[in-house]
Amino acid sequence: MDLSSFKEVFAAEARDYLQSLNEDLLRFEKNPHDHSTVDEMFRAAHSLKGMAGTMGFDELAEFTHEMESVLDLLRTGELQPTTHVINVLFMAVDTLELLLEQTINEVPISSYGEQIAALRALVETPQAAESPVSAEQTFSAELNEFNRETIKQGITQGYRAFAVSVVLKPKTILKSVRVYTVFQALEQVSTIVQSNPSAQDLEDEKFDRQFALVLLTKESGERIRQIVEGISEIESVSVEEVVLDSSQDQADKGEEETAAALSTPISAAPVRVTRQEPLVRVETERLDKLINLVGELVISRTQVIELVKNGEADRMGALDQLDRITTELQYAAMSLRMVPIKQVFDRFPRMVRDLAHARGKDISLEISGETTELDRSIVNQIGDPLVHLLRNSIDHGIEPKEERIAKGKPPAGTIRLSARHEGSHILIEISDDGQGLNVERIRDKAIERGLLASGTKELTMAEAINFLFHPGFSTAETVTDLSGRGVGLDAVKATVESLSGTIEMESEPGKSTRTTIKLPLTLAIIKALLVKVDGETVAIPIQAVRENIQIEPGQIKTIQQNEVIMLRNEVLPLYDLADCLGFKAVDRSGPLPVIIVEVRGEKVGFIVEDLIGQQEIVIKSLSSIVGDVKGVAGATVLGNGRIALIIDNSTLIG
Amino acid sequence: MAKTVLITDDTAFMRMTLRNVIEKNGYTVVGEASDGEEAVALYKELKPDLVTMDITMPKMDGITAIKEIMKIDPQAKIIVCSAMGQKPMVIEALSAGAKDFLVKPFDAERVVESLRKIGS
Repeated sequence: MDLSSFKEVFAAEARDYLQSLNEDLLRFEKNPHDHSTVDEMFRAAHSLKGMAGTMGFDELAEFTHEMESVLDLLRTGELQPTTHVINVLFMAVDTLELLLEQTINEVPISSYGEQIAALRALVETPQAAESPVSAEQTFSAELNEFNRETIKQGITQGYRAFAVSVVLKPKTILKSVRVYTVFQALEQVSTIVQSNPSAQDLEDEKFDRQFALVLLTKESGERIRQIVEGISEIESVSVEEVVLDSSQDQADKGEEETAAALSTPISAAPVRVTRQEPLVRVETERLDKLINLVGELVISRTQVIELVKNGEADRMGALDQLDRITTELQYAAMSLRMVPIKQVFDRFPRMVRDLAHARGKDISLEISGETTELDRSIVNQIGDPLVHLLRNSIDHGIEPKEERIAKGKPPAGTIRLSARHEGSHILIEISDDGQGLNVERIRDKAIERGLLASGTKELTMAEAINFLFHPGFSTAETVTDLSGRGVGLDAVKATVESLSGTIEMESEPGKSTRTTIKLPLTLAIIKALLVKVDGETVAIPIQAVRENIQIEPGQIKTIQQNEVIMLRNEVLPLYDLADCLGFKAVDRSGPLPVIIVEVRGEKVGFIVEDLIGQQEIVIKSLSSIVGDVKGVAGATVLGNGRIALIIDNSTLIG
Repeated sequence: MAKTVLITDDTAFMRMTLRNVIEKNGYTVVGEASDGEEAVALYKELKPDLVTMDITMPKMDGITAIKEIMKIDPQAKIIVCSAMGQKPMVIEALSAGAKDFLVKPFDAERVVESLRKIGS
C-alpha cells in the first residue's frame, strides 16, 4: 500500500502528539504524582509508535518505543519521577521532534544513539536514575529560544551545530584572554551562537576553569576539537554535535510554516485528552484563494448595490439577500483564516522553563485567553516579538530568588501572558512582577548612546520607555550576547507596527513591567473612510480616524509657518491631504471638511475636498514595480470599479 | 630541522632567559631584537618560524610591530609576551594577529607548550 499520501496527515498529527507530550511533561514536572498525566503521555507515545511503525518510519518507531518503556515504568511506579528522568524525557521529546522533521522532509536522520542510550539507562537501572544531570544536558537546556532559532536556520543552510566544552589548565593566567584566543580561533571557522557562562562573565573571569560554547560551522567536530587543542593552556576539550535543540523550534515553526508548504492544522490547538474535537486541516493556498474570491465578491456586491440604487428601488429586496449572504460568506471565510493564538503561546511554557532554569531563576508563566483568535498572518509574525518580550522579562525583569526574598517578594517570579478581544482588536499583554524599569539606567544609556544631552537629570517613566523603543538604543543583551544579535525593542515595535498594531509599556519601578500589544484582528479587509481629494478617492483606515469636522478657512492659524487649527482648546497640526499625496491642493474658498487622524499617537487634521463615507475595503498591496510609497499602504477596488489609494497614516507626514 | 625563533624584548635579561628556555628545547634562536623596529627589520631578513614579542618597548611598541610583521607576512607566527595586568593590550595584540600569549614571569613549560602548539 502506498502510504506517501498519508504523510502530511501523519506529520500534522504526530506534531500534535509531540506538542501534547511537551505540555504534559511541563505539567508532570510541576505535579509528578499526577497519574493521569503519565497515562496521557504513555498513550501519546504509544499512538505515535503505532503511527510511525505503520508509515515504516523505523527510527521514529524505535525511539518512541524506548520512550514508551520509560513512561510505562513511571506509570507503574517502578521508576521515580526525578529531575533527571524528566530531563531525559524532555530530551527525548526534542529528539523525536527532530527525527520527525527529518523523516518528513526526507533529510538524513541525525544520530540518536546517545539519546536512546539515555532512555535505556533509565529502563535498565531505574534505581540509578538519581544520578546528576550531565553537563551536556544542562547545557542543551540552556540554549534559549533565539539561539535555537539561529541553530535551526543554520542547520537548514547546511551548517552543523556543536557544543564545545573546554577545560583550562589549572593556574592559567589571564583566563579571560585565554578564552578570547579560543573564541578567536573558533571564529575563523565558525559562528559562536552561545556561551556558558555568558561572554560578559567569561570576560570578568566569573568562571572556574570550564566553559562551553555552541557554534555553527561547516567543519567537522574533529576539526573543531583540533583547533581548540592547538591552543595553549587547554587541559581538555570535548565536542558534541547538537541535535536536539533545533528540533523544538522546527516542530513549533512546523505548525506555522506548514502554512507555506503542506496542509496545516487550521485549529492547531493540540487537542488533548479527548481527540474527538473537530479539527479541520485546509491547505493555505486554497484558503487564500477563497479569501481573494470573497474579496472580489464584496466588491461586486457594492457595484450591484450602487447600480440598483440609481435605478429601480424595488430590486433592493433581492439585493438585500445578496448582501446578507455575501456578508456571511465573508465572515465565514475570515473565520477560516482565524487561528487561536494558542498556536504561538503553546511553545512559551517550555521556553520560559528552559530559560528560567538557565538563569537559575524560579519563574511561573501564567497564560490566559489562549483561545482568542486572530488572523493567521498576524499569528505567524507575532511570535518573535513575544519571545523577545518574554526574554526581557526573564533576563531583566524577574530578579534572582535571593534578591526577591530580600525585597519581600515571593521567591518565584510570575510572568502573565494574556490575550483578549477588544472591539475589532486583540490585546496581548505581557506583565511580570520583577524589578520594573530603571529610569536612571535608561537615562545613562541614552546619554551614552548620544540620544540625550549629557547632564540631563530628570527623565519621566514615559520618556524612558520611549528611549527603550528608540532604534539607536540597544538593550542590555547586545552587550552580553556573543554575536550581538540581540534584537532591540525597536525591532519589536517595528514588527507590531507593520501589523498595523501599537505597543505600549508601563512600569512601576521595583514592582512590575507591563507591555500591551494591540493588533487588528485581520489585515485583509478593513473599514475605511473614503474621502475625495483632487477628484480622486482616497481611503483612510477607520481605526486611525478620530472624528470629522468642518472648518472655515479663517479658522486656520499659522505657527512657525505651519498651519494649525484649534479644536476644543487643543492645537492640532493641519495638513492638506491632497498636498501630502502630491495632488492639486484643495480649494479653500468655502467651508473645508477636516478629518482628524491619529498619527503616531498624536492627533493631526487633514483637509480634504469631500467626504464620501465608510466602507469595507479589501486591501491589495501595490505592485512590486511601484514598490513602497511613503504614505500609501496599498490600494483597493471601489464599487464603481475605480481604484483608491489607501493611506498609511504612520508615514504620511514628517 | 630545528625551528627558528626571533626573540623581541627591550631588556637583555628577558631575552637571555627566553633564549635559555627556547634553546634547551630544541629550537634555534636566530636573532634578538630590542625594540619593535628592529624586530620588523630582523623579521624581513631572517624569516624566522616563530617570534616572541614584548609589548612595551621603545621606538616601536609590540602591537605596532605585530601589525607591521603581519603586513609583511600574514602567516607570521607571533607569540606576544606581557606582564600581568596588561589584559587590554594582550587582547589588542591577539586581534592584531598574534597567535598566542605568554605572561611574565615566564613558566618554562608554558613557553614550550606555546612554541610547540603555535609552531606546529
